[in-house]
Amino acid sequence: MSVIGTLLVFGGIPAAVVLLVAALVYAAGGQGTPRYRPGRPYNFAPVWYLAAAPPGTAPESGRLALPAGGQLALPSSASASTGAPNAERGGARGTW
Amino acid sequence: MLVVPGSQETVAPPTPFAPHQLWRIDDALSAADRETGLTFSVYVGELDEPTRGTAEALHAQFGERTQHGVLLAVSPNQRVLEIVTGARARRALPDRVCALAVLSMTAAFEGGDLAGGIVTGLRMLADQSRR
Repeated sequence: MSVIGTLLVFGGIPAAVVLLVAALVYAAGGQGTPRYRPGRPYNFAPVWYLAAAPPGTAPESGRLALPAGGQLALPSSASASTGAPNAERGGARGTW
Repeated sequence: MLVVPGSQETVAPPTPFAPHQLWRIDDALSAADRETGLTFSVYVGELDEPTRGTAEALHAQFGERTQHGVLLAVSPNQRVLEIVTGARARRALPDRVCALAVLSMTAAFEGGDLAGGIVTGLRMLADQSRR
């Protein structure tokens, strides 16, 4: 095999494969939805979820509902002590 | 369907969750509510310092369901998770059970899996609750 042939087989074909894989990765994975990665800043609006009402339930049937709209106002921590009568809350806390 | 603040807008607000993840969270929330008779809720976003006080203030917004309310508040930027239970909910879900759920949730968050951690926590709390 000539020098040029050797270079093409052992250099050109691997290079072509590498380029093809890189092109596929950047074409497919570039527009993925942004997601949380530990250590990176988390730039999403706050969200607060409740379970949906079972089908057939009237909207105002006494179920707990959250205020709609983008203005989710965080209450200050001072209102917790005055707001609810029960101080018997429990739970747990963790960090990562 | 999830009750999403801001869902009335025509443009969907950017959320950290893909549609299939939202579906799983909704599924876990509904199942937990149904199995325990409590009201579970998940908050994901910034918590003002002190985070415990802010989480309890959010929990106080449950209104008449405060006693039965269980709030899972996750703050990815601060890397803090707070579980707040109301007085009645605390009887079904002792703090020990919540601490166990916190452990497995933070393990998932550490790996970057927000939705997976939330679903795991909800399932664990629902499984462990005594009615």
